[in-house]
Amino acid sequence: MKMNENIPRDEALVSELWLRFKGGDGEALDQIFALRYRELFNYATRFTKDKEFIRDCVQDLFLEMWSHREGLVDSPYVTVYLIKALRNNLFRKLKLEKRLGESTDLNDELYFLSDGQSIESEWIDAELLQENEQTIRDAISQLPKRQQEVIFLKYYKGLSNEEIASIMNIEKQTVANFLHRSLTSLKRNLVMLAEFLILPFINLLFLKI
Amino acid sequence: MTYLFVLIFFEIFLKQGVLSVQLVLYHITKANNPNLSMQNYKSYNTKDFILDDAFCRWVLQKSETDNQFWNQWLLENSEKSHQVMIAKEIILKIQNAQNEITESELNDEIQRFSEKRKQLDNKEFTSKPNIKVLSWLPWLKYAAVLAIAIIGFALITNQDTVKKLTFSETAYDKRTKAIEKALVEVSNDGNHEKMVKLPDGSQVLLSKNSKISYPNPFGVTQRSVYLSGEAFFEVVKNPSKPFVVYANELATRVLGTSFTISSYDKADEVKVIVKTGKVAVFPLGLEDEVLDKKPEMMLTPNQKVVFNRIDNQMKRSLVEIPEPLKNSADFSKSLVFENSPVTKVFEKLFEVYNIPIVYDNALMENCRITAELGNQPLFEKLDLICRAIDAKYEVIDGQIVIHAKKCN
Repeated sequence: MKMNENIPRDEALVSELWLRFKGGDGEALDQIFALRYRELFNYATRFTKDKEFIRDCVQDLFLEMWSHREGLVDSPYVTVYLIKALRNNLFRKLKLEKRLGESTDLNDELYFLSDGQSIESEWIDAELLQENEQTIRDAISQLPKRQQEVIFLKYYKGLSNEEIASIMNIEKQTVANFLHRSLTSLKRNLVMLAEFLILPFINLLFLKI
Repeated sequence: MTYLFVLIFFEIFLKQGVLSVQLVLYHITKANNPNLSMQNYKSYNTKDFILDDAFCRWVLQKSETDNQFWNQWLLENSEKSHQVMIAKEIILKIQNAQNEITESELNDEIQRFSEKRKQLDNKEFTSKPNIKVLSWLPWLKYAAVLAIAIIGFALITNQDTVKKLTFSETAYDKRTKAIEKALVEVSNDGNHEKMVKLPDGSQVLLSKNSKISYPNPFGVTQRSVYLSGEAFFEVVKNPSKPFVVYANELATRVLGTSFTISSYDKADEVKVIVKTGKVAVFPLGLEDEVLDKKPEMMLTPNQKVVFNRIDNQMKRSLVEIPEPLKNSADFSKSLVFENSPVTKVFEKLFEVYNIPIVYDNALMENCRITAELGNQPLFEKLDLICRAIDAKYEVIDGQIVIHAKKCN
């Protein structure tokens, strides 16, 4: 399957806008900003909770693109291009703040690596359907940062493992492993949260009726 | 209320139905098609759909090609529609759960960007030459200060030290420039130490010719401080927000404690000296990454770490004059020994100075001493003890190691 056959519906529009923007049409860039801001912002929340910082980061990225438009590639897969660029900027700017806090994340990942085999048989299924958005959000936020990132790229934007691998600079197989592990821990987190939040609620409903 | 009930009931029913259908189908298709191709969705369960690239893309991106393919496929494989529906719902739920921005926030930002872009355009077209000159100004100022500093320095020091000064940016400048948020900078150009109070209540005694920068308020995850020169830190305890000092090649992380960092840009060494509490020191790479090969070094009171900037080696040792942790009045009384086992003396010394003392317990169990170890420095005390029991000591990796003979 080639990518260009399966480009999302509005991605074609974005590509067209990109060409116009490169030609000096500022409003085309405004439109790309409007079409892609939401996912870029949400993507960045995987790395930092400082929303003010994220807002500025995305603004800067687009302003930078505007000043250097002549030097940019002609026809990239724009969404992936933007995500990569934002990721680079975020990492550069967060580096000092982030680095030392990251060690706990790495430990988490080692932990999941070691017990990856035993949880192979468990799986998420319709259980997830019963959870509300806030619970799922909480469960995701408890994952290590890199797992959050994989989940986002896969289930927010629907990128392929190959595209995710190129964004995160890791092997395609690693992406698959990460995804598998993330979903399993997501389920585990949900079960834990559910015991506190969801189950009493459901019981209550049944009792009332 | 009834509506909610129906919904939940429906979901539970669905779940059970799907699970049994899934199992049966799985066996049939596996048996019939031993070599599963990538396109063989007939054998997929909910999990497989959720993990499948093309499936996710269809659910989330809704391209024309994908729509055609999946609608057709579902017509032909209607028995799979339950799994497909559940997988689709789960993916959409995960997608929604990751949205952290409201419509109005989005519109505000779109507006803001459009305005900024136009401002940029105006600047570019109307005042281009001005901007170029302006952007040189900070550099010129910087260069002028540097030039004066170098000339001044050359006048008062000999040639050897001067050649260490280069025109390259210091680590301090590089770091503070890379931070997006505005930093507060305090520099001490006077002749006396300067007290600086940080946003979290921690105190810094800044030595002369030194400066620090920090964000006010501190970041969410950690309290970052950037140092050029030398300072003594007294950090307020906050276990959930580590306090990290970046100074040339070293980063020092603490939770709450007091310590000194000496990191003059022109010096050959970067030093971290601990007064109280526990401190972790990390060597940093060129891009400020933590070097994995050289792990963090833990420091306890009276220990110091010296990073040699010439051979890039990090060494742990003791301060020249270890200081007792408690008031001298308290400890001088406790350091009077009469025919006491020397091991007990070492234990007491550890209590007072908090420096690990390594010795062979079995070998020294019969060694006894009588001594008044009052106010002399630690190393003199150790000399006295060692002379009495015919032993030797050395400082290795920030610890005192006693080499002794058996006493009878």
